[in-house]
Amino acid sequence: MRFVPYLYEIERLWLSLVNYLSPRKNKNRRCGEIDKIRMVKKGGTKRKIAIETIQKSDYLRVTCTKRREGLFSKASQLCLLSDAQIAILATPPTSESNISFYSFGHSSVDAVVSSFLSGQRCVPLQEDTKEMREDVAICLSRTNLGLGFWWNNESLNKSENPQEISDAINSMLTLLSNLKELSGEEALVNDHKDLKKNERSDVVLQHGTQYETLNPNSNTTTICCVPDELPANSNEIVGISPNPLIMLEKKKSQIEEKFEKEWQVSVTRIENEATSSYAKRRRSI
Amino acid sequence: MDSSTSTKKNTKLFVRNQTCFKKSSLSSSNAKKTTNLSMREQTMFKKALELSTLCDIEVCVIYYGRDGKLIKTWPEDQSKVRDMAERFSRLHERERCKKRTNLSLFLRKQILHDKKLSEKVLEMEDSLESGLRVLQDKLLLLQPEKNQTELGQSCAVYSTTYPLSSPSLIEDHQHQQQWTEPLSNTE
Repeated sequence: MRFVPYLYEIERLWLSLVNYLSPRKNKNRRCGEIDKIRMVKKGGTKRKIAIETIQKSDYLRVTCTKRREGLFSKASQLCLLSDAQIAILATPPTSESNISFYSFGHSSVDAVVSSFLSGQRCVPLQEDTKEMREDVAICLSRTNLGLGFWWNNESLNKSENPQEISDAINSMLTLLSNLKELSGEEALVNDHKDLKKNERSDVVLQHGTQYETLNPNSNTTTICCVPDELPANSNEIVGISPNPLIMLEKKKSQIEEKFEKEWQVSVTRIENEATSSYAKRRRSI
Repeated sequence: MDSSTSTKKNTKLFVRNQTCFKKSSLSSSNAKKTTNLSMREQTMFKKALELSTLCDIEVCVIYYGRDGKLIKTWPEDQSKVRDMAERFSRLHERERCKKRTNLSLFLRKQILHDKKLSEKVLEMEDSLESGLRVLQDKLLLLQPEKNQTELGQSCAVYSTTYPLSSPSLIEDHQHQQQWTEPLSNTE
C-alpha cells in the first residue's frame, strides 16, 4: 500500500526529464505540422510541367495532339467573339513524315496566308453571312460563349421589311433541318458505342456456355430503337417532310445487317477453336 | 492562367469603335465571365509558345482584326512567319487539304464529343420553332398591309406577283431536300 504513490512520483519525474532533455524534437514536430497545414491550404496537388522539350516520343506525340487541339479551340473562341481572321500553321513532330502541315483558319487558311504574303489587308467578314447563320455548330458554340441566338436579335424582331423576314425564315428552316440531321448523327454515335459494348459482353459470356446454344437472333433485339415519329403539328408548322426519319430507319437496317455479319464471323471463329482444341486433346490421349 | 478576370457589360450591339465584343442584351445576365480581348490574345500566343517548345515543332499564328488589318503574328519576327507561309503555299493542293480545318468543321467535331449536346439541341430547337412562328405571323400581317398600300398606289400587278413568291420559296426548299436524299443514299 505504501509503495503506490512512490511509483506515481517516479513516473512524473521521468516524463519531466524526457521533455526537458528533448526540446528540439518537439519543435521539429511542430514545424512539420505547420508545413502540412500550409500544404493543405494550398488546395489540391496539381502541378505544372516545366516547359521543356519532351524526350519520349510517345509522350511527345500525345502532348502534341492535345495541345494543338487546345490552341485551335482558343483561336476559334477569339474568332467568334471578335470577328477576327486567324490562321495557324503547325509542323508535325519529326516521327510523322507523311503529313506536311496541320492548319486551322478562319475565314480560310489559304485566304489569310495569301493576303499575308502579298502584304495586303484581308477582306473584312460580313457580320451575318448566310453560311454562318445556317451552321448549327457555330450557333451552339456562340451560346456557350454567352452570345445569344441570332434570331432573338432585337433589330430583326423590330424590322418591318418583308424581304428580310422571309430570308430569316428560310435560313431558320434550313438550320432546323441541319439540327435534326446533327441529332441523328449523335444517335448513331451512341448506338455504335452500345454495339461495341454488347459485342464484348456477348463474346465473354459465350466462352463459358455450350456452343450449341448460340442464338444470334436473340441478341439483335438489344439494338437501340429509333425515337418515335414527330407529332403532326410540328410537321405542319415547320413545313418539312419526315425525310430524316426515313434516313434514320435505313441507317438502322444497315447497322443490323453489319451486326449480324460480325456475329456470324465470331461464331465461326469460336467453332473452329473448339474443334481444334478437341482434336488436340484426342491426340494427347 | 487567367487569374485576373474582368467582365465588361456592354449592352450596345455592333458598335465597332467602342467595343470589340458583341453581346446581346438578353443573354448578358446569363453570360459567362468573359476575359478581356487582350488577355485572350495573350493566352493564344502563350499556348503557341508552349506547344512549340514542348513538342519541338514549328508553329506560326497570323492574326487579322475585324477590319482586315494585321494585328499580330507569332513569332513576332515576321521573316520566320513569312518563310513558313511560303513553304505552306508551295505545297501541292492535296497535301494542304490533308490536315486542314475550318471554323465550322472544327466546332462541329468539338460539339459531337460534348456530353450535354442533346439538352442544348432541344433548347435550340424550341427557340427556333418559337422564333419561326413569330416571324411567320409577322410576315402574314405585313402582306395585307402592303396590298392595301399598293392598291392605293394603283400598282396591282406587283401585288399579285408578290404573294406567289413566298410559297414558291417553300416549294424550292422542299425540292432541295428531295435532291439531297439520293446523295446520302449513295453514301
